[in-house]
Amino acid sequence: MVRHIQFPSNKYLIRHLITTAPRHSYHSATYYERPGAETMDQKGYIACDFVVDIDADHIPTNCRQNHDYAICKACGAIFQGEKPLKCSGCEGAKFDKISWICDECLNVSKKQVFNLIENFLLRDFSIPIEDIHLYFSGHRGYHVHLRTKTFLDLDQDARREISDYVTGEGFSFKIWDYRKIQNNMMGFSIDDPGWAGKIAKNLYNILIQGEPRIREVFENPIYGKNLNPAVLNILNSNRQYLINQISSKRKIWQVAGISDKSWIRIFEILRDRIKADIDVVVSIDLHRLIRLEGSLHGKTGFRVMKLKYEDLKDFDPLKDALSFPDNPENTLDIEISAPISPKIRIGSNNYGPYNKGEKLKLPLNVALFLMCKDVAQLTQLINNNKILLK
Amino acid sequence: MEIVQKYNLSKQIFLQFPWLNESSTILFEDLEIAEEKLGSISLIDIVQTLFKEYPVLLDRIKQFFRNIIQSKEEFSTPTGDIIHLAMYPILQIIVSLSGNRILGNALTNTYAKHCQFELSKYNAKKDFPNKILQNIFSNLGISCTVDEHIYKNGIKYPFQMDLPSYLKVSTKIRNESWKLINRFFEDGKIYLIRHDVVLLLREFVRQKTLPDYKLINKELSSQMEKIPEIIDLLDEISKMMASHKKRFESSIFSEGETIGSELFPPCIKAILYRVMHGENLSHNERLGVAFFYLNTNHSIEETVDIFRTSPDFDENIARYQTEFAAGSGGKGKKYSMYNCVKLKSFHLCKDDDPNFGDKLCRDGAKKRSGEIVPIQNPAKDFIFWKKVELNRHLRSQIVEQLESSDETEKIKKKEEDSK
Ligand code: SF4
Ligand SMILES: [Zn+2]
Ligand SMILES: [Zn+2]
Repeated sequence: MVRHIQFPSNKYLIRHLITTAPRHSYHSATYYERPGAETMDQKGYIACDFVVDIDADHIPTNCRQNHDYAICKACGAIFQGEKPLKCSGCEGAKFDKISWICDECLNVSKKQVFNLIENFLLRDFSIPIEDIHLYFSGHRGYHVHLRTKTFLDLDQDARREISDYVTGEGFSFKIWDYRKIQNNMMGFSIDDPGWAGKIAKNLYNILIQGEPRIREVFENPIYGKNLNPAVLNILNSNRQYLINQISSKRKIWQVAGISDKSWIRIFEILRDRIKADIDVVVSIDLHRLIRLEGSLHGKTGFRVMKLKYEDLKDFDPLKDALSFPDNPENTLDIEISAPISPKIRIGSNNYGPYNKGEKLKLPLNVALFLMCKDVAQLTQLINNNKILLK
Repeated sequence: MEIVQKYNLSKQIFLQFPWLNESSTILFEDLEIAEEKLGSISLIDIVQTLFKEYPVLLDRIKQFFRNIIQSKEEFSTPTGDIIHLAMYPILQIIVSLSGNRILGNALTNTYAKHCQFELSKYNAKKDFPNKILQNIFSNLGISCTVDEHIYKNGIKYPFQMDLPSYLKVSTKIRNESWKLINRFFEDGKIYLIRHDVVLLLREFVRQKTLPDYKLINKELSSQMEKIPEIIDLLDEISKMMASHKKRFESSIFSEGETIGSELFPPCIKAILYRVMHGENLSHNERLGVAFFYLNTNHSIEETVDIFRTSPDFDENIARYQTEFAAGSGGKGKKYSMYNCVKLKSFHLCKDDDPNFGDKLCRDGAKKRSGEIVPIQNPAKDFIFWKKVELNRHLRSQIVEQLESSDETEKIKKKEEDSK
């Protein structure tokens, strides 16, 4: 990795990229007096973007089970989904990973971006939309940069505090009035600002959707164990009572059979549904490297691109972030080199799954994706080195 | 009196709170030094002038140090006059000259407590209505507005502070009730009651009055140390400190120096560093470090000793709290070490800190299989993996030595062969 490079202008940067053609390009999210200096001390810190990273990689999704693979380095055995602790064939513990993307995981990260921007940045933080800079990362996620003066100057503690707010970390049930008053469990009001209100509203919305929805939510929480089935039944049978209490803004949520502990579990399950699932480490780092806008992501060949928030809804990374025009003459000859190459949609067609050794002539964007994913190799040079850029 | 009008604060308030921006203007007015002339006067001149113009200044300053060295963090001299204002720059200079962090922290504590005490008088005398608090904040560059008509859940929240200002200090109090998530936070503002605001202001004052130890360079300090009053003060202070040895002993630690065992995790090192420099610890910091000590086979005695350098150290309380943490009063261990998640949420994790940070905490530990496991508990897995790391390092050194001795042997052999 080549680090600490400084360019006097864009022209020099572009020339450097053309001559070195790096697979991955990053820039620092931090502003320095001397960005080219070798050590952080010499660089002279000025300020740092507040960066939020949302990546399907950090969010549990079911599709991973279908499209990710682990391949034993020792014997080549293939395992679908998460990598096992040990290879069942040879007991080996080292694996190569094939991690794929699909519409489901891309949508999960998109949904989280909406959650972050709508429910937190615009509403709670009251940040004007024009100060929110949104980028597609080129893989399976998005970066949000806040560049107003107030955010640029925040120290690390303040950044963690904001991240904690967004992810629901450190919510104190005790402080928020959750307590027993003469044997009455006190809940929250939908009028409460901040998290207490969010929890009350979320619970209300689930309750009014009826029993099947309640089961769905509490039997399959995003993180952690499901709610005890007995408690779930009690919650269901007291549905109407709780709906009445919450809608009439009464805070007494006392239900016989639901203990303090169970209430806290209920709140935690709700919290994990409400929070914006961001990668906290990125947001609190004051020396972060961020993928360069306009470069191609080395694991997909897709473009890292700036998006307008109003375009996010219809943005389709597998179509809109492709690097080369969909010209039928833009093809590449490749050979599948990995034991498996899962199915992928590019543009409006599906490609694969393919097996090792298959020789294929594929549209340039597809071939590029498979090569970047390290499952294919080039067998023939591009139409005598020509790519049509139209 | 422009300043007074600009901030809508009375002269009395500037006299009382010398840490306000532009309080010094009042002082210069009293000394009849014109603003245009300020640029041409050296710091040395100013110090000499102050001692000359205000003869009681020297005694007041001595009294101040007498108090803080005896852990009395309060003013026993008048606080609303011009002398009180004149004391402030001299105190800052003396503490910077001494380089002593314990004195520095005691100084900030004294000003912070004084501010809290004065502003809390509101209830009794309404000396400081809410509007004045807003003006004080505005003088410090903090946006905190007052609206007496805001009610949430039936409680009046007259103050609204903007997010960056709030976070600047709330995160330093290190208590979960100050976490943003546990506050009334809406439209980018934090809704606060008066009590909250006074505590936040206390914290601002603490940050604002912290002496800048790099302020005075070698040349300036040698000039300062020629002023008779300064010599007298430095002399007297070192005598006073000598008679309170136990508390001031550990200030021999200089900036950036690490302390304690090489096995201590960054979070604990940072807390120990702070306490060694005479800073008061928050409840969570105290408990965190006490748990750590007790969980790593230190005695109650050794644990109590950690807190001795705290300005608010009280042997009985420290012992009681430590015994409480150890669970020796009741049925064995009641509480166990805070885990890393907890410490992170208290802003006490220092994995990335330039002075205390550790790769192990940042990147996790690497098992022999190549698997990476994150550090989850400072007392348990950090120490375990640190030991592993040190052992690995040791082993690789031994291997290197063996290899290099192999090499020399080979070379020797070759030389012999070629003979
Ligand atoms: S990772 Fe854990 S042990 Fe390391 S500094 Fe943070 S809190 Fe302490
Ligand atoms: Zn195997
Ligand atoms: Zn997927």
